[in-house]
Amino acid sequence: MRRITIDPITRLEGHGKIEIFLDDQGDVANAYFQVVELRGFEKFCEGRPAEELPRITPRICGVCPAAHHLASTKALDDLFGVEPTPTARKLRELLYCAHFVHSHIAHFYALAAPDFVLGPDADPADRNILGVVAKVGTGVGGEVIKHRAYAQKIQEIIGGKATHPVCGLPGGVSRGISEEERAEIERMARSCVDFSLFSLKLFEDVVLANKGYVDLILSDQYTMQSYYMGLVDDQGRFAIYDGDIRVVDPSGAEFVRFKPRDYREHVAEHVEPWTYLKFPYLKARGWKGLVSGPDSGVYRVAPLARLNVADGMPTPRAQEAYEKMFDTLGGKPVHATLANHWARLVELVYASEWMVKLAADPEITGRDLRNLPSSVRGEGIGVVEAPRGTLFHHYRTDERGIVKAVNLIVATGNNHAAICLSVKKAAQAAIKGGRVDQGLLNMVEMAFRAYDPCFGCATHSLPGHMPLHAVIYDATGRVVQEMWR
Amino acid sequence: MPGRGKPGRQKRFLILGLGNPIVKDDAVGLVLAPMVGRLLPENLVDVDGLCGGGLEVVERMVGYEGAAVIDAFVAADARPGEVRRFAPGAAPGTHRTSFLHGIGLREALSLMREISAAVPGEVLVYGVAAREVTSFGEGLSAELQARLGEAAAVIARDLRAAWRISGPARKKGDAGCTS
Repeated sequence: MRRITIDPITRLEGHGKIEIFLDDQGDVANAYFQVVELRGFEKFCEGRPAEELPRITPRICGVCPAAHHLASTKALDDLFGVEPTPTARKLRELLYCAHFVHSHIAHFYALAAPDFVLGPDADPADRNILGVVAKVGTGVGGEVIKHRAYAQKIQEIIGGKATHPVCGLPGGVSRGISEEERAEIERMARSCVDFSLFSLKLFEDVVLANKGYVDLILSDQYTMQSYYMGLVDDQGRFAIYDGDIRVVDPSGAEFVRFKPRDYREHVAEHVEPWTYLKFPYLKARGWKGLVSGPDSGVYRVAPLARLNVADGMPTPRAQEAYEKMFDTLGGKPVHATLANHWARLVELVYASEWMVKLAADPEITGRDLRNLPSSVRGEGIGVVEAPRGTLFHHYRTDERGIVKAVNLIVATGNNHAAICLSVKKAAQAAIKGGRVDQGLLNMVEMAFRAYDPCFGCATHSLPGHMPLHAVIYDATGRVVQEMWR
Repeated sequence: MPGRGKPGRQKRFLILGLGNPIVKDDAVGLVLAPMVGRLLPENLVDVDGLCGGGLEVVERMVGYEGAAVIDAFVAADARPGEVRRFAPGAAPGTHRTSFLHGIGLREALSLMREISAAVPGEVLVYGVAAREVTSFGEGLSAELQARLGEAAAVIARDLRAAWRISGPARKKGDAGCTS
């Protein structure tokens, strides 16, 4: 048996390791995606005042701090039995849309675009954002930086800091915005709408116009039948800040719809000894192992899942893009994992449009920013859609609001089983007869990059470079080939 | 593109400590940056901290004549507290970053220069050897904490030479952060 290791994985957040086992014919017998992530966060929170968690939890993962901040703030709303004021809720949503904008821009141009614009077989030295800019023009690079900066500026205005917001309070937010700030936000948001539409057009021109890429997106190696989970509003439309949790089955029919507070009735977590990350699954279907399909409890979250569960988009240009995506890919639900990249751009359009809508709302500059809590209920659950999927924060406290227990189901955790399955399937298709080269290895990595995974690591220590080391063993365990990136 | 420092008050140089304050030794950059700043002339050097990587780090440097990054690194042959300076050409490539989806410092600098952003001509990268960077917790390990003063002095001496600056160190007190 031969063993190929990809460790660590390029172009994703956190630290993971892929091990691929080949049989005697050099075909993939199995593949495992192990997560070597930071440990002990839930324990770290015990004994702290719950009000500290919206400032602590963003430090779990430096990629989506706003998601953790708002999920945590909503958990405090629930814990203290208080709803935010209308102005506070709109400010939270505006902050959150800005977070989606810069996160999705970064992912598309830095992580997804290199594979599609340059090709998965391109020289790894060129297959990065610089290669993308060289191909599509430095003007695009400037627009990427500018609109990321706009979105981060909006976050800073509302959240107090560009990266780790500090504005969330149980029952509201800590500060409002002036008319001058509102006008600036609206101006930047409108520019983000234009750029999001440009990005979508770029995807269409470069990816959808290339039959090879479309075939790749629709190929069996990147297709998985699964359940899908995401938030929906009261009209069943796409939502990222609040709503019900809807799950659809592989045929697209609604399987279950529930309130965030009831998640434990529907979602459980399975543990495997070879990875630190648990495997959430649908209790009604049970844990059947790493298999997908209608009888398996494995479900997926993140952009493709969100669009699969939604009956539509709340904003006009995003709705057009949503309809075009499903029309092109053969209707709902879409099981093509790489379509996450397309869905992500549809979400980018939505988030930009929603920012404009909120910025133009007269209530957004209101001064009624908080409802004061008056009791401690002892338990609070907050759920948002992080850019990478449904994010659950669940706290238990004593009567003083001191944390006794924390349970987090992070966005990427929901996708853990699906990522394993996608990696295995891609590996089985891309590696045959023992033939392994950088392009093939990248095809395997493309499988999990589509999920935009983030493994809770905010460490960025300096090992000098990020090595990619693959070791190939023959059936006797002898090393026959080694590859470095 | 403006830097994040207040207009008219941004100084010539920036020391940027990177790290996560709740991941034990990973916080060393955040702790060390102000210590280094206190050893340098107050009128020339800004100090800041960031829990991020890649492009966000480079965006923070816009408008400065020179910048230095201080961060934890892990290596089997390095004693905790040991300081290594990474040559710009050998600056870390794409590695485990936090915010910017795998854009390493080198890529980020190249991108910003490509679009003619006013980033420093040279970015000095200092790694401080650490051990405990995989578990959540507050506070540095004892061995690392004990060597911080020495590490700060090493970096400050190097920066004075690299930036060709002279002058008295800051008055006592926290160098603080500009943002």
